[in-house]
Amino acid sequence: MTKPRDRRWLSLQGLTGGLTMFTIEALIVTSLALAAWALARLILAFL
Amino acid sequence: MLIRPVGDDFRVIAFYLGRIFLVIAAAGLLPLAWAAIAREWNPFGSFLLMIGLFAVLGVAGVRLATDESKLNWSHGMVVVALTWLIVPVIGAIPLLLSGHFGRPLDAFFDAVSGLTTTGLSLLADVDHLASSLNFWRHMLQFLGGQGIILAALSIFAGTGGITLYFGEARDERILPSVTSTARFIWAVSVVHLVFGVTALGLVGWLVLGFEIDRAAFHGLMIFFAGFDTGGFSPQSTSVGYYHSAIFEGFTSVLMVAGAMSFGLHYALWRGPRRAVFANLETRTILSTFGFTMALTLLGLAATDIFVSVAGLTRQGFFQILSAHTGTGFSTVPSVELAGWGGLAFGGMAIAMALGGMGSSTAGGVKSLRIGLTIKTVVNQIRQVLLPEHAVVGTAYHQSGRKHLTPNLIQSVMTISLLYVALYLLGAGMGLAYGIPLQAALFESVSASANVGLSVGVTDPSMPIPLELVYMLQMWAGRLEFVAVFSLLGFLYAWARGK
Repeated sequence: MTKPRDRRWLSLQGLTGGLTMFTIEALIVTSLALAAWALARLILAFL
Repeated sequence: MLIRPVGDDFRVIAFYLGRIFLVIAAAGLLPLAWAAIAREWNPFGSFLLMIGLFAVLGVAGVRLATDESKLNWSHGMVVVALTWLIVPVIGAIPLLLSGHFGRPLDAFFDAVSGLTTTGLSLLADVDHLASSLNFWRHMLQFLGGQGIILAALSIFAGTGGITLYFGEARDERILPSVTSTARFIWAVSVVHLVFGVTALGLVGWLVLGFEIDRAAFHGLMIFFAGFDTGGFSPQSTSVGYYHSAIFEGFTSVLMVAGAMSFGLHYALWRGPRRAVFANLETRTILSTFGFTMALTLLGLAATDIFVSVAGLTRQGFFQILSAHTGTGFSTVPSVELAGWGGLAFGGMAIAMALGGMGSSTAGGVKSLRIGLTIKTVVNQIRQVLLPEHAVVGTAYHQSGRKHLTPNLIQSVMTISLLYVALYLLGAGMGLAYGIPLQAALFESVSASANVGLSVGVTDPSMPIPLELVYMLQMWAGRLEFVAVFSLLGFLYAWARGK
């Protein structure tokens, strides 16, 4: 029998968790891209 | 004494291989249905043949079984090694019959590249390949990617193998059973499938002006290849075909998600989320990404290939992200990539060699092993510098507080050195065929670390021995040596055991 714990992914809480996970990943990529942009700007300014 | 495998060992292995073949046969129904809907009758016939072969072998394997519960760690390893060898042989049939390959071996090469989530390809004229065949090659990457995580977290994590596989002496599981683990992996995949395909499809439809079905097709293909860090693409010019920064942005999210460990996904989904950034693995990959990105940007800026901040950032960032996550998408052609000499080449090669996180679809040495190696070296130096009786701390944080042990260090070093040897094997072979060192090393690392970026060495006219070595590298690199050694040990025991 499926335990309540195993069905958690299908609950609203589970879906919110999935959305949060995807959002954080998008934020990580945005942060990395911004860091790359700052670095590129710095490099081109000095070269 | 070496114990020779008996009939029961073969039957257990055949049973689990049979079950896997039946799963692949069922998965083959999707491209079959696709071919029927698209009225692509030649691929339809070849998919029927492939499904039939998988089904016959699957049923035969399952019927051989006496008791399925007897699977031990060694059997599991042999099953994994054989799966990543046999599935490409049969999975290559539709590709071979497509007429897009000059040699049968080339079709097998593409199937190995697909299932190992590498992305190197010998396919001629991908732009005119039937859509159902394109779907199948991308789906191979998805099956291989999802399969390797499941194998890593179930079979590899069984008993003693986990030390060698992860290079980390942890024996706890994040989720209590293989079933719940598999369910969570699929939940993570479905979330990325929904968000990824929707985002990419909308960009294709609204920004790029594709028809809606074409936009959805491209979104799905890029999801398969991006989330599983595979690197195949439906067009010969890879992601560069779309000429869209926002498309590259969403693709980048999928690449990063694919290179994240299962534990990290779990922490981001369920929390505690702050603890994620305390992990040695997370800190290591962020540091190595920053380091390799700086090298690449500096190299590109020095050669005047990109003179604007926007151009340098966009091209440099996407390529280094693709290399470090082991995906292999590119926005610049192979010929141009081959011209990235000096620091840019160094940055890309190092990023590919280091790879993504453990228990993800990314290849390479893996960031946890890199982090542990750096910590070991730092500790050795501190030991020398500090007074004789000083105690050097061995603790590190990885899903909780852990300690470096001699066994752990030995495992980490062993796997890392094996990767270096694998990188050198392909590079040496390339040099023997007169390929310049830089290109030979780049392509070899790309194959071994299951990346798929190419500087043009992987080509339908490449020498067959070099092609075979690249296939060996993709296979061994994907299975992180453990399953390969288990298979070799099993065969040796069969031949020489008593």
